[in-house]
Order: sequence, then C-alpha cells, then structure tokens
Amino acid sequence: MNHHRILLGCFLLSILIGLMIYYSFDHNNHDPDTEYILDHYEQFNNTKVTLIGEVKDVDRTNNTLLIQIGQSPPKGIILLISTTENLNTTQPGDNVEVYGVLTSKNSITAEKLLISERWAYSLIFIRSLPAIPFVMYLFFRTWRFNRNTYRFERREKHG
Amino acid sequence: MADWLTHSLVGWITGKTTKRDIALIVIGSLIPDLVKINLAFIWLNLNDHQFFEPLHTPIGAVLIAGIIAISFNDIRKAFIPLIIGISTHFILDFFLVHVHGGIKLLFPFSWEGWQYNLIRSDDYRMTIVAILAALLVYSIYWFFARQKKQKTRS
Repeated sequence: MNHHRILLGCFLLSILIGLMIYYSFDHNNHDPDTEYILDHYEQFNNTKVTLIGEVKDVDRTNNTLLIQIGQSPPKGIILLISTTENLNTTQPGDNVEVYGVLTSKNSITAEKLLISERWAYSLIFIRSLPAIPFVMYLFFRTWRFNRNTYRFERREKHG
Repeated sequence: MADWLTHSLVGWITGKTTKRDIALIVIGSLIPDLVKINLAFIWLNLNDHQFFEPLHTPIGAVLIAGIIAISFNDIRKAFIPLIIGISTHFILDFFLVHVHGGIKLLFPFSWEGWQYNLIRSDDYRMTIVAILAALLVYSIYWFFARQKKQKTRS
C-alpha cells in the first residue's frame, strides 16, 4: 500500500474520530441520553424528553408502567404514566421508548409510547444473524485479499 | 434499526438491478450499523457516551466507506457501490417508527433528526417482504439468463 493511500486513510480516520469525540462531548446539549437526563433531572423537569427502558411492572388499572431506565449500568426505576396507550398486551421485559414530560425524578407523563414485545425485540437480533454468512459469502466470492499489495483484488472469474 | 438481513437483501436487490458490484453494495448497506459496536459496551456495563453514534450518520458512514475503499485497487470503483449501499440503509431506516428524533442526516451541521414513522423496527413482516422481493428478483434474472443460454445454443 503506497504512502498516498496511508495518508488518505489517516486523514479520513482522523476526521471520523474527531466527529466521534465531538458527538460524545456535545450530544447532551442537543440530544441528551437517558443517564444524563436522570443525573440532571432538575434541568429537564417539566420539559419533554425521550427515554428508553425495560418494563418491570404493568398497572392496567391506573394505566401506568414501571420501567427500568438505563442499560449500562441501571440508573434506577422511573414511574411512567401513560394516559392514552392501551397496555393490555404489555408484559414485564418488553422494551419501551417514551416521549413525554418529565414531571419528577421518578415520573413521566407519556405523550408517545412505543412498546416492543420482548420476543419481537430479540427477534431483530436473531434475524440479523443470517446476514453475516450471506455478506461474507457474497464478498469473498467476488474479492480476495492480496497479502503482497495489502489490497482487495477481484477474483479472476469475476474480473 | 431494521435487521441486517433486510438491509443486506435490499442492498443485494439494488446491486442486482443496477448491475453494480453487489458485494460492495451489500457491505455498504451494513456500514451505518457499525454503530452496534455500542452493544458490546452495554453488554460489558460500560457507558460509551454515544461515541459511536456518528457512524449512523451519512457523514460518518461515508468516511468509513472512504477508509474501506482505500484497500481496493480502484478506490473510486469501490467507493461508489459502498455509497449506494449506505444510501439504501438510510432510506430503509428513514421509514422506521421512533417516538421522537430520527436520523441526524445533517450532522455535524445540524443535530435535528428526521424520520417518516411508517414501519416498526420489530416488524418481522418487513424481513419477509425483503426475502420475497429478493427471491422474485433472483427468479427473474435466473429465467432470463436461462432463456439467453437456450438462444445461444440454438
């Protein structure tokens, strides 16, 4: 691999890493993540926020959900109040995406609610698995890596 | 996110119908989902501070495509199908339902997210449609290739 290519690669990689660092440091000012919202809830009180969590308990009488917020590590429990959504099929373990008004550190009034059943959510990842051998097969059927030039070359029958 | 099988099948159909490099279009169609590296951090109970999120923006995916294209003899010929694949990914993800926000198409110039909110990401019927569409395209190409072969024989 010649020097021009290495320089170009380093240039592109440095821009990418720069963008990633910028996003990482600045995203809470534009699109705050769940953990930041809960750590600074005074700042977000009575404002509309988006939170993602896992259903821990369903109260169909009061139409509320108890959801665990934050995946890594769990940041605690938040009481989610939903007034419009039907919770008849909601079960503990389901994934929830909620957009609504944060009314206290432990409660949110949902404006929009997106509930994914546990099996349906897991199925996304299961469905993704066959893509790995499919993509590998398609790629290596057409291309091979030349260890001398450090480049991918088209296989002869696909030339 | 749509699942990888749907993305790769849509990439395959695009490659087959546009007569471009199918393998690179399919690779491109999965590039934005490199953001899923964050799942490893979630699994390890580590906070990644959304460091990988720019990979799921057009600018981040294009930069990755550029880096990948460098490892091919003809950078331009590799870069274009990768970009086509990336486009199919964002077009598909654009139609997914989210409660708020969406794809940050103009990052780093704007943090606004765009979404059309048509298909739920957990809806497996989307994958079935993609499989059926891929089978249909495969059958059509197989039929015409067979006819062409028969004509050349006769």
